[in-house]
Amino acid sequence: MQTENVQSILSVRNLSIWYGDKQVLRDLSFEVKQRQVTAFIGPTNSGKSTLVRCINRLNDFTPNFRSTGDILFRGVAMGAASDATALRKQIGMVFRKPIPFQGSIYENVAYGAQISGVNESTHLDTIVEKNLRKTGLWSEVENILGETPEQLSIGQQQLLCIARALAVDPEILIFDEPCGELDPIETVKIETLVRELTKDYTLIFATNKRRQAARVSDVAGFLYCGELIEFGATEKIFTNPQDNRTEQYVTGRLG
Amino acid sequence: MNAMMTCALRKQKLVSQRSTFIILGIVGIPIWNVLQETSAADTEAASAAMPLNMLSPLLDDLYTLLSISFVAILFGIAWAFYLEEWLPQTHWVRRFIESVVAILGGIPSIFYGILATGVFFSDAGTLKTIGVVRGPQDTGDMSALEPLSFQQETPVFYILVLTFILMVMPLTIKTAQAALRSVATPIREAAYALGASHWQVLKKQVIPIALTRILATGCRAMSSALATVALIFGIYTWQYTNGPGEMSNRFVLFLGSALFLSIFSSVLIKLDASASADPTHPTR
Repeated sequence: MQTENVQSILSVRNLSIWYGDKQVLRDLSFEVKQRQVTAFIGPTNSGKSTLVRCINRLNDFTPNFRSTGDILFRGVAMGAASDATALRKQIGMVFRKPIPFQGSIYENVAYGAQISGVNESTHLDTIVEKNLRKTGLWSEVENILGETPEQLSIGQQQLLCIARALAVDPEILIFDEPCGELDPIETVKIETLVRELTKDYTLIFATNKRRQAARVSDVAGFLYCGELIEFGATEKIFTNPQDNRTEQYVTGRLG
Repeated sequence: MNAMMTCALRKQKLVSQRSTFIILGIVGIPIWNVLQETSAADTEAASAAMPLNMLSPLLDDLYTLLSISFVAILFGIAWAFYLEEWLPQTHWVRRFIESVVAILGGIPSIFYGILATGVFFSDAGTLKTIGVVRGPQDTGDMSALEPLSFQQETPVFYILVLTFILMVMPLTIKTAQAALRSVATPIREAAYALGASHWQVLKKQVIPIALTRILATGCRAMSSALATVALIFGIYTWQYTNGPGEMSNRFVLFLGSALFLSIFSSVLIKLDASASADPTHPTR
């Protein structure tokens, strides 16, 4: 897996984050390369979710949130001045719990497309089908598009949420522990999908399952108590870690 | 398993919907009857009984008050949206209004009713509304009374209007805010994360989910306004008509409508809760 010679799409520089007086991230710097899976591993409360939410600028809604440092998307700093809504259309996000919206399965996927400004029904149909096919859900829901997503399994709902996020046509897709609620079979489906999606998208993947990160990612970062202890090629992190704590974590002695 | 749950849920929804209609029927039909009788009684009695002549302008004013309450409810909902969706929690306007609402909203509507009645009636039992100073006791001659309204320019009217607004607004703001807050943060975040704008999130997520509860809010506030009107009217009726004449039907009508709206809002909230407690849908 080549980590060099690939264009960087997102660079984080000296990012520190506070919630009130409590500092949750300390001076993070790293680069996310295009068409790769960048995973963040670390124990619970190590700041993985805060970090990925920052990239999507969802922390804007958190009261007492404060940050220093820069996040550059395609070389442009995504400070408070730039349009967060437009930014989020380019940087999608999938959460731990699948959150289908009210309405039918079709409407859920179409919602993504409508947000990005598509409204003609014929065009919507193709977008819905294309994205459901991408996630591999199409054959299962083809005949029940008009029904509510409630009857789908949690794993299928998660795939639906991924399809919805893809329908916005983002460049980066963030997964915040997408398999936290899923059983092993559904987890395999999501992991396979994540590998497939690297053909078209840049993925950022936060997880507290170290083996999962080893399976899906090209580049991995180990976060511990708000610090980025180590960041580099997944192979290297898992087989030849430089830091003692990383080694302890990946071998299961820490966290 | 999943299908069974959904099926059971549907059944439950169906049962609760059916019971809704039954309850609405039980409460609604007598009210409808009273409504029919009252309108018939109105036309008959308009030429006959004197107190009725005096009452009809009073009724006009009460209806005006009810329409004002309705507008106040709409304003209350608008305020709730503004406070909850636009102002940050720490903003002084929000903190100020929320504390005022917390104080006023805790006062039971019967208190406002008594306050309003106090405005209507003087100590001597004279109805201030009619002719402002003259009551049956003053002249002893009922036919000498002019059916005056308490003319909407008089301060009394403004005091009443203010009473109703004070009664309805805090209740509406408080409960409508709670309804908006009941829309789970993950749902909003999921929509924002896709790149939806604030308006899109309001239109597609927040309002559809909170609508039932907001409707229930409006019904409850209207119900307390109606109950107060019923109280004012009931006291007047008992004072100026002998026993439960045809005019006390109005009292039944107002109180019945208040009860009806109150039950309706409870049922709405119940329905909403049973829809939210969907086991296959843990996020709502």
